[in-house]
Amino acid sequence: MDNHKGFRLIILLIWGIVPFILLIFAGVGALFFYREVNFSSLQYSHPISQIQFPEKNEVVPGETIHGEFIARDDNLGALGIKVNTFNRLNNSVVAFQLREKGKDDWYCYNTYFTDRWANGELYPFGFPKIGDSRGKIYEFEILGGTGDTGNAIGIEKDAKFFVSRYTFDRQEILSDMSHLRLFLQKKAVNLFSKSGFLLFVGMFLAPLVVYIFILMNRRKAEKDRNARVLGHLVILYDLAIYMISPVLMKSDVVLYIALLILVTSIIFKISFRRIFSIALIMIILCPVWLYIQQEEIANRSAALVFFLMIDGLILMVKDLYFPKRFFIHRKRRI
Amino acid sequence: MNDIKKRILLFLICIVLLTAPSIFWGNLYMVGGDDTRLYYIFPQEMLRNYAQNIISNNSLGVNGGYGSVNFFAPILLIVLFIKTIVPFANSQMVLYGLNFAFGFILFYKFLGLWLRHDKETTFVFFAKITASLFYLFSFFVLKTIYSHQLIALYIVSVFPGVMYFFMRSLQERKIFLAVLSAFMYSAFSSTILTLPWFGAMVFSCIPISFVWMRRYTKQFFLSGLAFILVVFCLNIYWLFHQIYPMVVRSEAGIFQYVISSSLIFSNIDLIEALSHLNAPIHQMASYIRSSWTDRNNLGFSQSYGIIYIATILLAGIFLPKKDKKTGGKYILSILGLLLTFMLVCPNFGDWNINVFIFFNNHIPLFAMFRNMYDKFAPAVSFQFGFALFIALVILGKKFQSSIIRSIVIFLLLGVTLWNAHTYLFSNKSADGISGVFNKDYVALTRYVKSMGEPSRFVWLPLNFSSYSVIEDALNPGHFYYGSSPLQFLAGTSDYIGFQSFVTSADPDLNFQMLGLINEKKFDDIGRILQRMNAKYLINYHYDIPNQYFDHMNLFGSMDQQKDGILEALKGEKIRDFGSRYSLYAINEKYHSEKIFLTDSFEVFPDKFSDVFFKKISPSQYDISVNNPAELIHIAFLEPFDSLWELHAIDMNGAEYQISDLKHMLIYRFGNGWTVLREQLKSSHPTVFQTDETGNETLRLRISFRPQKYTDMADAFSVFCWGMVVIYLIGVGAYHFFKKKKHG
Repeated sequence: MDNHKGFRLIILLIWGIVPFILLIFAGVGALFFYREVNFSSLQYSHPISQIQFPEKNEVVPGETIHGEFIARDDNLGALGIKVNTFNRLNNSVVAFQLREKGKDDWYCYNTYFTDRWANGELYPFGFPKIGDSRGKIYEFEILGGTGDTGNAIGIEKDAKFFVSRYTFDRQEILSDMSHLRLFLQKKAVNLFSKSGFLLFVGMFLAPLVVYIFILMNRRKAEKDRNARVLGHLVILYDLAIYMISPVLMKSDVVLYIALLILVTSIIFKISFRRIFSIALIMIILCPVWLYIQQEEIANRSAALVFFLMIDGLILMVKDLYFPKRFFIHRKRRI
Repeated sequence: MNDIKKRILLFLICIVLLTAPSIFWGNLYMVGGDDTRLYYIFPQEMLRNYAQNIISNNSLGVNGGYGSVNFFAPILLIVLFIKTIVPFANSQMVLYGLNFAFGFILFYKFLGLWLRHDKETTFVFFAKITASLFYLFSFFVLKTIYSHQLIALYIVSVFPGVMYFFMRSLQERKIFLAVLSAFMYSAFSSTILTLPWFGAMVFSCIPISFVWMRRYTKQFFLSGLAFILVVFCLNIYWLFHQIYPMVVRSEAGIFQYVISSSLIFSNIDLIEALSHLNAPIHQMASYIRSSWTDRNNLGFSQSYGIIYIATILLAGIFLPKKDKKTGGKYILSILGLLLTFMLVCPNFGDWNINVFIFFNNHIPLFAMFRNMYDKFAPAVSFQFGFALFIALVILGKKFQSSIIRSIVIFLLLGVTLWNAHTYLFSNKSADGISGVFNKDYVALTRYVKSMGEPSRFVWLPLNFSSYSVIEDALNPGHFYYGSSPLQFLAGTSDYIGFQSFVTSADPDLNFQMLGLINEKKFDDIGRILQRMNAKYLINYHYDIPNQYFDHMNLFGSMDQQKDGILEALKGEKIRDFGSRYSLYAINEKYHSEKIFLTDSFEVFPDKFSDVFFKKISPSQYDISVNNPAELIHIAFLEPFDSLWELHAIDMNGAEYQISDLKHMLIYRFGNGWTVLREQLKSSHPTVFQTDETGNETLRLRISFRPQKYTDMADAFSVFCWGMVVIYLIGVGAYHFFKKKKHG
């Protein structure tokens, strides 16, 4: 009776609790490393076509970028617009102003030094929160303060979108269960309506996928070949999402990916040579990314190469110095 | 390729490197900046009038304070030696050439030690050349130490030499090679001036050191001990002045600043900001962005440098699975490379910044690496070169085809030489100077020198950068722009700009002065000059090129002085020096002397004639006081330092301690003592002399206490240098003849 109960507990642990923990890990991990906005904020995209650019797309004195959008929620607090520094240091000043369409006075007017702006950054133009913004049309302008042609920023025309951000008061959310439920509902809809976020969550589901694969293939002789294919797929998926996904993620997510690649490589017996091969391909692709002006992808690739080299070294140490000692030999397990 | 051909090729490369600076950059000196780089032109003057001083006269255009600058001595002696044996040559270009040649050959030799039991194939020979040239001409050094041209650039040749001899001492179990390594470091690196770069290179060699320690445990500790001991003994002449303040007043000398919590704390912002200077792709493409004005992101055309990291990764793919020996070296080289990658710019994630900040907060002296993109750059070059060599060795074993091998070497060498070409072909000395200043300046310095004045000179107008602009004699339109050389050319201290006036007692006086000038409060300026013992004004009136003037005139500081400051401060005109310079005494209202008696330390006296003094050296003044009053208030206008001492002396020069003597900060700048006449007379009557007319004279001496030990420290150092040289020659000759005898 006790044995039976123990067996059931083990089954529950293996098929229930561990997968559940890994699922929770995926959710928490994705939210933790997701950097687009704070947890208590929402972000919505608007098509870039709602912005009118000056002819040269350089915000010099006399030039104005004008745009408008419909606020998707209350508590409008910032606009995020991708800036173009033309890969140079611009010692210019720009001004940002916003108002509800139809009103005479501007609601806010801020000036910004642009010398430390990064190229392609989704720059947040913040302003005092507007409590009842939902459904209203707002217009904004970015004006050239100082600078001249060759020494001024522009807006990234190829960005496809700009974003509006809505900031909710944490204490207000937590003050009432109904507020919390409503906010979580909004947050979930907001997050899961973004394909990028769904792909991003997929990165953190990798441990669960690997775990389930191991459980399902415990007694199959051909598992090695399948395992390697899966191992490679998991690694390539994570690498691809990290590199190419436009999702704003915390830079430390690369640590998770490096650890995942290392553990996956050890479990599925992927050689250090394969890891160095992936790193080589990624580094060779960097000039291509730079050529098509995808600097962010090139930088993420380079950061990954750094970690792939570390993973490769660890696997190399294992293969060269401890080929059998710490890990079960493949043939014996078959 | 046989050994003779290899040696001829190496020799030819060294000759090309040796002569390259002279050929490409001409015969003008590239000087200026904070450290002036005038040591290439005036080594003798710097040795005589500057490098030996530990107090007063030990700074260029600013208020110095206690600190030894004689760590300059080895480089000054080397330049002097070069100027003596090849007087017609440009010593800067000769030294740069030597740096290239020795950097190349010593790195080449260092790489050779990693394969000393293997037969050197032609491919390995070229791999060593390729890696050594990469080390010498990678962007990591081109855009940092070669660019600012501080003395630290000699680390390029010194560090591989130190590593080469130290590693040989481990492999051959010979202590004398560790001593040679320490000698090389002490003689050619200017030690403390290169410490941040040298420290970074040592830090990056932690993986290598770990392997050495494991493989040659006993010898590692013996050689390490010998190295540290010899470095300590050879450098005691300046190290003493770092240790002494720790002993007498719990200060860490020059290291005080580096370990101060204010610096460590302020570094955090800087580290976070600089982590954005380079993106990860920069390191991977063996490129370093050293200025915010450089292109923001790496461009496609700059990405060709990935060929190096690609070669290293390729070697990882082809590493034989059972070749532990080569694999170990590969792992070691990559570890060093990755360590330097994450330190030269902590941009591989927030964790990287946090690790750097952790090191900054917890590792003593790590704060000196705050401009990490610069400090760790030579270390990256070193580790990259090493990793590239090991990678090429692995690829050489894998690919036996001479065509593939040739293509690999050709590509890597081509890219390396292309990098070198961009550097060498830039006209670096376009704004250089001939080494002879214009005749007006020369006449001025000669005159000032002949005055033998212990008080200070002020340049008007004061400038924001606190730099001198001096036109070349032979190349009109070419200027020296850097710290004022008046100290070593005329043996006299001066104030050149706002930074000059900062002291520990008045740390923000520079900005106060700037405010006073903006408000045109020239009388207040005069009072400040008085308490800082500025006795003469040098007015310079010539056109300054815009690129310098914009820097000097920041916040309009020079424009504000156009009307009125000279008129307000000047006294009697002494003379003109051509059309460029005029020398004035300061207005009587602001007159002061280096040493004087006063009734109160709150005000300046009306007359300064009741005391006579003689400057024996920058650290000693002998004073005669006529008919001293009961209370003698002695003012000494050098920046306050508790180590200045006042003694009474008798006719024979014997010093006597004065009891109940109070030493205090006066006028928020200088030193003041109050002596009780009767008490002194009763304890030491021989220090008073009375002549036939009944006039009484008291003889006193102001001296700087550490100077007493300086001579001993210098003598000990010289003795150690002598002993080490004799030891090296003796043991070297013994090993040479022993080797010859045994074939």
